[in-house]
Amino acid sequence: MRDWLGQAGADAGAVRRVLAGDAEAYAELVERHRHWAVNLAYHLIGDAEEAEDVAQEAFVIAYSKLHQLRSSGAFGPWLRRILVNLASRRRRRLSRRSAAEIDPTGVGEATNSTAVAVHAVLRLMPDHLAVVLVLRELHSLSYREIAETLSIPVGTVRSRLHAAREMFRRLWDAE
Amino acid sequence: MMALAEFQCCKVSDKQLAAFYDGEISGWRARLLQAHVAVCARCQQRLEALSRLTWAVRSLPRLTPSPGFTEAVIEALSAREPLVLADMAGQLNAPSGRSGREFVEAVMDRVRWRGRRRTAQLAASSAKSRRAVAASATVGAVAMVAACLLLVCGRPNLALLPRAKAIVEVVALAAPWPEQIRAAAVGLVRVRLRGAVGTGIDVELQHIGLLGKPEFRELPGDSAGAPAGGSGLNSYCGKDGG
Repeated sequence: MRDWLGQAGADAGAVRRVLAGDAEAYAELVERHRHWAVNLAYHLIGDAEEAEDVAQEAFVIAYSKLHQLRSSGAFGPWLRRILVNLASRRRRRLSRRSAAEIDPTGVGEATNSTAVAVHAVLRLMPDHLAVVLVLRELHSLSYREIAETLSIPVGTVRSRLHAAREMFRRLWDAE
Repeated sequence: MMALAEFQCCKVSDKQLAAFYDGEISGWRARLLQAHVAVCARCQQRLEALSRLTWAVRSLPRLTPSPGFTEAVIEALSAREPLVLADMAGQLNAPSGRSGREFVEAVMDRVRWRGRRRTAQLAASSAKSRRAVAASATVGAVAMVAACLLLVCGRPNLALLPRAKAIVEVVALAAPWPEQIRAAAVGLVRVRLRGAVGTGIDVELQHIGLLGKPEFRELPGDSAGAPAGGSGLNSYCGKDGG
């Protein structure tokens, strides 16, 4: 699922080319990172169409701020921070919609009742807990990586993850 | 064995066990926990609960991005740069070989336009800085001359000496000033001192530390006593045609 070290070198070269004016190199970065970006947005938001929209917006924002990237090999983690912020905002906006309006099934995916139930539980959880749970359980990020993504201490990650798991378990058992 | 006792009687907290489950604990602590979990039913139950939770959450499907995802990103980028990339959507529909080159050319046009604009901005700011420096130098020179005139017109007394020293120190620092202004300022100070202190002007110059300065080279007649203040001033003020 992740291979940051292997991608870091390839990303660094592509970022340098984009900054030198080779816009086509950005398409290469998009191709390399779109799978996990769309899935992370989907797991946070719960709507497949919104997830693609948010992921595209994250790539556009990353392109416009590429000159701010301190290490050209850190494009992936940096994009992840942008994406998590955007997805959290979109998630808050969507929380005002009814559950019937949200389409948790993936584009072309068969209906998965467990997936629907998991999304329903995640939607009931506060943003700051749902995010750490998704980053840890679905994207296998370490505590340190989660801390860097959310700009919080590792101890806070530990506490939030514990609280998130407790809440998920309680809500899941109640479903 | 003392460390193992820490984990006996299930003193392992939920957070510790979760960190072990998440692979965040390593080394001897991980080995101790492993050994404890092997014999602790409570920890095994908690690990099982964590595993079930992970299984449930991971039941969420993995999406495959739509086929036009990358093109949509490029189109969105072009929508943000309307001046140069206005027809990017049309270009993307062109045969793939052409659209890539035109996209790059359009971006480079945009980059060059920004570069020319930035160069013009820097030139304008540099000219503005030069004007500001020239203005401040002129104001400083005018202030200096005004101070010298005040010195000349003031009543002669020994309190002039500190003022004279301060003025000359400033003049010595005013290297970018026109030479004529510096010379005139020093000349005015010298005349005023001669008129104020009367005889032995060198002693006074030495007293205020100005004797060695090139602006106060000894002039004929200084050590023999100074004339009355009026004639010295008159000679500088042009009343006798000087």
